[in-house]
Amino acid sequence: MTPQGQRVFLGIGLAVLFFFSLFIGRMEIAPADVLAWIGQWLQGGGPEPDSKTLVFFDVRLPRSLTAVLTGTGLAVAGAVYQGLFRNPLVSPDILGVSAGCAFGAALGLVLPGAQFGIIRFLAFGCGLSAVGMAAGIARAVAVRPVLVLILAGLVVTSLFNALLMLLKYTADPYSQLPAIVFWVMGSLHRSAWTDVQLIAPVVLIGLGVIHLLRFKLNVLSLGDVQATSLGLNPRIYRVFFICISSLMVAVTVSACGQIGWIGLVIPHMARTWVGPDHRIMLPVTALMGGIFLLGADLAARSLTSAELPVSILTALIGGPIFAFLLYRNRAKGWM
Amino acid sequence: MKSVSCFCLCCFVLLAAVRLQAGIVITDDADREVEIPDQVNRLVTAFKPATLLVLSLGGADALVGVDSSSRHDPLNLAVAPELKEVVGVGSKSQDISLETVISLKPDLVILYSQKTGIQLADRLQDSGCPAVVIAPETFDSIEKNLMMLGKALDREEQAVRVIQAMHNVQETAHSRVQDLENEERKTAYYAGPSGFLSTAPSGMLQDVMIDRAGGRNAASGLHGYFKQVSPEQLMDWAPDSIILSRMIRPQAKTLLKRKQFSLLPAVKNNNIHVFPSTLAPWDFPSPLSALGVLWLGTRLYPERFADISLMQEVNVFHRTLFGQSFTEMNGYLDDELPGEHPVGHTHLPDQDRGDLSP
Repeated sequence: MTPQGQRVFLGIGLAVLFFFSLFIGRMEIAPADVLAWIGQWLQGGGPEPDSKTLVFFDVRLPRSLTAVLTGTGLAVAGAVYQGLFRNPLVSPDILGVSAGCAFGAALGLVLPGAQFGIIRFLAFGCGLSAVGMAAGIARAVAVRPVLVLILAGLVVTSLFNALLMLLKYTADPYSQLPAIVFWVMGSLHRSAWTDVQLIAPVVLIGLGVIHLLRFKLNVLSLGDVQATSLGLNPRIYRVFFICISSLMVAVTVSACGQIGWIGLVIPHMARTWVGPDHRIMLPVTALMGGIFLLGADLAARSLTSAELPVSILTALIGGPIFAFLLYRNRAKGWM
Repeated sequence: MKSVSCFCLCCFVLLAAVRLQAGIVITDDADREVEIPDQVNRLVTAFKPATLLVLSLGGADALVGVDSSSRHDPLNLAVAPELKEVVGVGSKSQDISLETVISLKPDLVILYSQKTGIQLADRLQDSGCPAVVIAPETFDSIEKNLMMLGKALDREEQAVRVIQAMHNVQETAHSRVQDLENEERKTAYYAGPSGFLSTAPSGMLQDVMIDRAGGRNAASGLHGYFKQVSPEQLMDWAPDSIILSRMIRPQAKTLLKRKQFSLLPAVKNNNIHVFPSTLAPWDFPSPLSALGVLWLGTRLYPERFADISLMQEVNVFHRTLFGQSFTEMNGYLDDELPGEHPVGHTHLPDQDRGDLSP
């Protein structure tokens, strides 16, 4: 399959899955219903709001869009980080952004009377401060930047995890503790248009910028010495890519909670399929990420009449896939 | 002949006294047989529902250690202000401090019946502190635990009074809704303490409460413990009423404004009610859950409950359990979501508002 063909194939796959995701759920909505609404809309005057249109336009549509945007954003951020740090173990939360977000959200859930918007804002703010702290530590140390940055990320992650545990420890076990646990587990069931409005600009602009600069990632992944000799200032681009990816991850995590494994597994799947060249691999990663999370969320909300946290499914599916990839690539290098 | 029977009686009384001196044996909720002293003067409770059970039995004087959060609980402090000064021994989620409990030299420790609680109870037992575990999760087990603790604290009469009060209040509700046909029963969605989209499936106390109040739990098709549901599922159930746990009011207020819920019958008719007591949550397992049943009835079928004053029933109930009325304890009833409402909201009748003014 040519690179072009692969992208078209994945694009069609995503579109088909998106279409199905709008028609699967607790309430029966047939494509004929949607056609009827479009007919009414064409004749002027939108469809009468009833429970079906509300489910379709205000529950499923924003939820599926959130799933695609989140999956895409997390997967691409993962691919960028793996290229940037030249390390296959890196996932987008390596610099502490997820841990920071989780702590911020837990803080919002524990604060008395805090509204939904505040929870989200605190999650976003704490996520970015965590990355800022990691970068600050790395800057202060100022030797072997890539390695120190990862270590600084570990420091910040464990710090915020400890703070999160402290919050859990003091939380009311009957109300706040389960809310924190479920929020951290990650789920798309709260998704509404406000989430789409929040995520879409950041993720789409981030994807656009990363797409335009994707060849720089190829150079950066050769290492700082090579990159400098090829006329690229590795530090500036590293800071730039970290900023963009962290923004994307922070905005998705602050809306949906921690959804694991996508940022780690999807770039590996893409790399196995199309090779390590970021110019080809990044669009494939984006599409695969969207498909993966949309599919997982579809399963999470339709397997039972209650709601399964989607992160359970992504880890359950992602883990074995990762193990399989390790087995298949056993004789090759990672890139 | 007379003297012989007299002698027998004396022997019997003497034997009984000796037997009592040696303590009594009670079987707890983990089927552990525990021998406790005849007189329990130093009591430690390790989780909130246990503390509340002891208070409702009038056993506050014997408490020398309580779970830490009970020392700040408004209801507990209204019943027994001295609880503020009692030693905190930790809590179910933060772990109990074994050392603190042992240093209090308790005659009896009341623990929860999860595995960690049972393990702790066995360890305490080995250290010479009698410990029982209880699981007050349903109406039946609450009554059973009341009887068990009544026996242990030698307050069986009060235990019977509390159980009778629970029955009376529920009977008041039941008698008014028992003739409802199945199709007349209103569907109610209960939003639990951990979020607006977290609900109580069939078999949980809240499901039983809705059922006894003449309603139908929207989530009765689900099983297990608190379950998360999707907005779509809630819209599919289309409940007539939405019942909110008290602590999720801010979140529920934001979510209920969303357009997707605007067509729910409960939202259209503004049948959204918050568990009303400002002192203690009636939707959590405790003897007070009986009041939750009555309140739910008055909200679901106001016309059938027009003849009773909820406030009066609540006051009588609290007086039976705690020796003071609800109003005297500075409690009041408030079952509205804070803030403005688009359509006219069903208010509690004025006499039920629980004004502090006489």
